[in-house]
Amino acid sequence: MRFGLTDEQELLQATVRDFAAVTFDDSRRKAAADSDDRSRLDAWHALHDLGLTTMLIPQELGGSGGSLTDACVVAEALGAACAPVPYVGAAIAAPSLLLACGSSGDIADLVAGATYSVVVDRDLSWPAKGPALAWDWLPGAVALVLERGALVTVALDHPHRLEHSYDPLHPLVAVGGVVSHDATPLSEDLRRVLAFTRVGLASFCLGLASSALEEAVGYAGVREQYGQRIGSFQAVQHLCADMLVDVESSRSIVYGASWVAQESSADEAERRCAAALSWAGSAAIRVCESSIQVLGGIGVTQEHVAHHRLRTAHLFSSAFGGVRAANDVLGGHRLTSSRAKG
Amino acid sequence: MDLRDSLSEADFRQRLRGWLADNVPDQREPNQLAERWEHMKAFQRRLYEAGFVALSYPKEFGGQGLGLMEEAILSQELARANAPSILPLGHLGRPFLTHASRDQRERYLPPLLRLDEIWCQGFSEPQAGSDLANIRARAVSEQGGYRIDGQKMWTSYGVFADYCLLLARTDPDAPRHKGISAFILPLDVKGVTVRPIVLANGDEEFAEVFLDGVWLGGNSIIGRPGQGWEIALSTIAHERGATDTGYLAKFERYLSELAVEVDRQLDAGLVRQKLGSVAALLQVLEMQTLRQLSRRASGEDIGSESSIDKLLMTTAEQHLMAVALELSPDHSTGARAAWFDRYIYGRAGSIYGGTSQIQKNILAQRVLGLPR
Repeated sequence: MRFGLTDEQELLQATVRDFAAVTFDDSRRKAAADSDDRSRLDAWHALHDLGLTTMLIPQELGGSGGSLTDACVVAEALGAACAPVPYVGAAIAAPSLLLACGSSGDIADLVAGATYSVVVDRDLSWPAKGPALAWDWLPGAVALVLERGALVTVALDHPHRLEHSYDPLHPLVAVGGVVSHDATPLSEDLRRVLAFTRVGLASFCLGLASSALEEAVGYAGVREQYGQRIGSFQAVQHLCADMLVDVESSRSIVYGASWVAQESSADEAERRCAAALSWAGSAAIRVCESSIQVLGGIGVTQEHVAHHRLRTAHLFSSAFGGVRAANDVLGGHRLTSSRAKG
Repeated sequence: MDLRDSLSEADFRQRLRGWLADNVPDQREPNQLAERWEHMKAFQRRLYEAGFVALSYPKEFGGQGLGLMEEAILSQELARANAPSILPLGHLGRPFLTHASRDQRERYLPPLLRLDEIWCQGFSEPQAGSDLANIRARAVSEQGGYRIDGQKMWTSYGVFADYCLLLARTDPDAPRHKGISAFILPLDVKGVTVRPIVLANGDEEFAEVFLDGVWLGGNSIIGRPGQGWEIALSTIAHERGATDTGYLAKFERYLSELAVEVDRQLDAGLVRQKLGSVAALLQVLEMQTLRQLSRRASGEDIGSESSIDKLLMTTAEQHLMAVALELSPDHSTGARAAWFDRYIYGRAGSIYGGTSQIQKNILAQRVLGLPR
């Protein structure tokens, strides 16, 4: 047993972090926030050229052939840069879904650079039960709809971007004419797709939280009030320590779950990945809130990245059923097994 | 990442799982500490006889000569089997490995690990709680030994113990961290009085220990004079993880009991949400523990980062208890009263072993590098 990233994964993490720090600067984020999609598309193509968007596609199918942990490491690094790209949706959820029940033509298209957007319910649960949304949409993306266990692709010719979404970096697009997924339980393959997606979302949340902590600590170490650095006040120190516990504990469950999801049974994958999203999703919201508190006034300005982190933390911890569905699954397991024993 | 068991780990897990399937008692853990103590001790003795206690201690001193990953497996499997709590005393053997003489190791470690001799920790004092370096118990050199006067407080399991790992000041003129030494104190010698402190839930888990002209031989000191602080820190570091304390298994058992006892009149969706949030947190604690043990096993020094584990463990306990009060049956039942006792006890989690505030100071200053 060895719990920790490999040297290659550490290198991958550092590489993506460096790339993301340069690529996703404030100006690109501002452009994305103003619905300038070209900026998001350019960034996405750059990720594709690096082979990062096909991490989950095996090499024999033309992908990069990485593990889920590899993909999660990339998602974390992009989260740390608060990157306005649909990585979790288009590079984790969509390829997992295509590999589980898609056509080989769609997989080939994805490898060639096509973007797929998974369709979720209006309450962001998955699969959609009624009128639906394309999750983390990008121009040109093809929507993946699950209808009665079968995958259907829908071209989004005239995308209608949701006006009331609170996170402009990850747009949602209304999908008409859909959808009724029947209530039969998900197949084992689809439960694993959901597990992969949950831990992907959790990884991005971990990245958001880790950079929120880093920024707060950096600021507390230089900002002076009352003639001393604010980081020397216990009130500030304890906020930062709480953030550290949230970040490191999230890291433990996210890395652990990313490994288990691929190597263990579908039940185990579901259990671990639900825990990852439940904890890392909630923790990211707490940490991004505390970071804003430490940053003081500048943390609540439009131009600062802090509110974008908090917006994305909320969206990602609600996506694909989010923290609530994750807790529901975990709580349901405990009740069922207690009745089985009792 | 590779969470697969190695061949020897898999073999160990299988043996352990088999043994637990046959040996975990069915009855619920008694609520009163006096009975619970016997219940825990009896189980842990059997666990020891079967070769599943003190896994990472060397064989020659009564351990199993295995690694830290086996400790992690033990913790996981005890949790899976809903086993009784283990007595969180194993960390008191650590200073014997790092600082004691060979004679001391041979004499004291095997009975400590076997639970033939029960040990307690004489660190805190009325004026030395969070500020542990402020201890005032004095050890004065006398007739080739030491005469000790002072008072210890919050001594866990003091009334059940035979020996005490005692901190006392040997050099009052040295800087306060440097003048402290560690001693082996038998609790049945002249001048020692142990008085229980009754906790709010009725447990007599802690004690005051009064030391009035107690004489200890020169061979009672552990390490060199002045090494007491270092010994205390390394002992405490082994008390902070959920594996060290066996709490992972304890919390899992509590959650299973709660899932059975939960008030059936409550909204099922709410119940699943609440139980799910606890279940998630216990998995986080398990993975955090696994990660830290894996780092330790590969030679990394966790040091101050063990405060993360302590804070997380406390959060898990207190969240579990809050949920238990929300979900347990109506107020006329014994089940709710029992949960309330556990809840009250859970308030101590953020106080003992270094308060949550002290842990946060440590993280902020030593891990995050914030200015003092």
